[in-house]
Amino acid sequence: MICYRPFELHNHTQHSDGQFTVPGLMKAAAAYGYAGIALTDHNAVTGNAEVTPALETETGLRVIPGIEWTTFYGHLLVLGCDRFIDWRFVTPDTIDTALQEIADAHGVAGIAHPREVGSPLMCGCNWEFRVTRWDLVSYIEVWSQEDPMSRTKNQLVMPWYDGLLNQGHRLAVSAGRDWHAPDSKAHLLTATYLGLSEGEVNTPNTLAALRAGRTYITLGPTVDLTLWQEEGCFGLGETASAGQGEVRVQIGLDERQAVWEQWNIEVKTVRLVVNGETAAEQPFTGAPISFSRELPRGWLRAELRGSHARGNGDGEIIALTSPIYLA
Amino acid sequence: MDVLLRDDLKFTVTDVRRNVLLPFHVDKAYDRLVVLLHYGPKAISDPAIIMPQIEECVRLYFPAGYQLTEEDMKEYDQLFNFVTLSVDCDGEYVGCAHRHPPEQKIVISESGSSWGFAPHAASPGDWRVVLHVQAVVDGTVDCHIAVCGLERGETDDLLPSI
Repeated sequence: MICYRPFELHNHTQHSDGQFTVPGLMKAAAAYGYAGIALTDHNAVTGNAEVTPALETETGLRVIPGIEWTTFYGHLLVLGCDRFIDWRFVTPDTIDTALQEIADAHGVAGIAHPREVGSPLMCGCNWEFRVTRWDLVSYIEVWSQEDPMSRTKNQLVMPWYDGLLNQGHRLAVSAGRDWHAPDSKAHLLTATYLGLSEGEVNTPNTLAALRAGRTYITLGPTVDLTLWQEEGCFGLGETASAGQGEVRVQIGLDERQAVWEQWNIEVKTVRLVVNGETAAEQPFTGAPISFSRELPRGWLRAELRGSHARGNGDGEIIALTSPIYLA
Repeated sequence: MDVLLRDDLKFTVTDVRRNVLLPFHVDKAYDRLVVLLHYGPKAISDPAIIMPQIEECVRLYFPAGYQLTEEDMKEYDQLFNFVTLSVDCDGEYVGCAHRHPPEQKIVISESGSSWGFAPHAASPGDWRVVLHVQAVVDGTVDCHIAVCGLERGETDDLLPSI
């Protein structure tokens, strides 16, 4: 059985330019109710050696070993490699080879903040690599930092991401806080929920969820999106058939509520997006929502829309899922 | 204490996105290696220099027609030269200092290394520092680097000033 658990997948410590110690980061993440974090220091993996079973038991948090390849041409989140892959000499034209090396090392690759401002304002932060092997990229960080939709880079990334999906690439979504320092004030935080086998939080399950596309991102409420057809039930990242189907969306408002309730987050509608276009939208009343319709080839996702204390009006995006694919 | 590598380099805008390879050989075991890096200037705040670059960034990376706000200008009142370094030994990656301060002192030893660097014996072998020239805003960045091998009991007082 697949069970979704909340993660923060983009974090830094003193092993690069962060202010956290590794234990300090783990305790701060646990306080926000995350079940797991990825340790993704810039070009450094040394922080992983500080993660002990005792620390994981104390915090109730699992740490996924990783690194943020911080190159001249973009930043790549690389999780779970069983050996070090040298990031230093990768160029826009050799990125596919590097991605294959990551896959050969049983790692998972995700693109960080692809539409961040580039040099010289933000050195190397804009994604300029010329990827052709998109099958070797598992996820895109479509939400970067806290209060994500207040940031231009996140507004710019969605059309690009949807364009990649429309080209037939299979890419999950992630939210990454790019967390560098302890908080001195409250922030509108995000979480990436990962669909884990039996809900068990560990590195193999985390990598498997990212590879399979079992993710959704949220400011707080939880989302359960399924597609029901005669052949059965399909979840995030799975491939159903084009044709008649019933899309069901269930929303939960209880999990990690203490973290997000201060932002007055209210889900007003649930939007069904098919191949990048709004196909249907229904008001959210608290009950499960169902869309029955003919579905074309391509992909679909659910978006929760509503209001929160940092937004303007009722159309703010509250959560969105990775796709279910339609063949 | 032995100075194993010493170099003074100048970087200009043509060096941006360049990896500068600085190999050095270690022919005996030390207690530790110390890598010293210093570059400058760090911050450039002359509006005549930085505004054209900021405007070019807006053109490239912001939505068409985007106008810089007062908040933007508070954030972008300076641009920074930026050089990072990594180290490897006999082809094995030891670590990286991806940090912004323009003065870095990196210690590498078997018993423990600086943040971002794996514990690694200061052993004989073919070592290499790689300087990663991330940003040169204008003019010339003067960059000074030294790698020193220290014996057990030798203190950092012996390190050269760069």
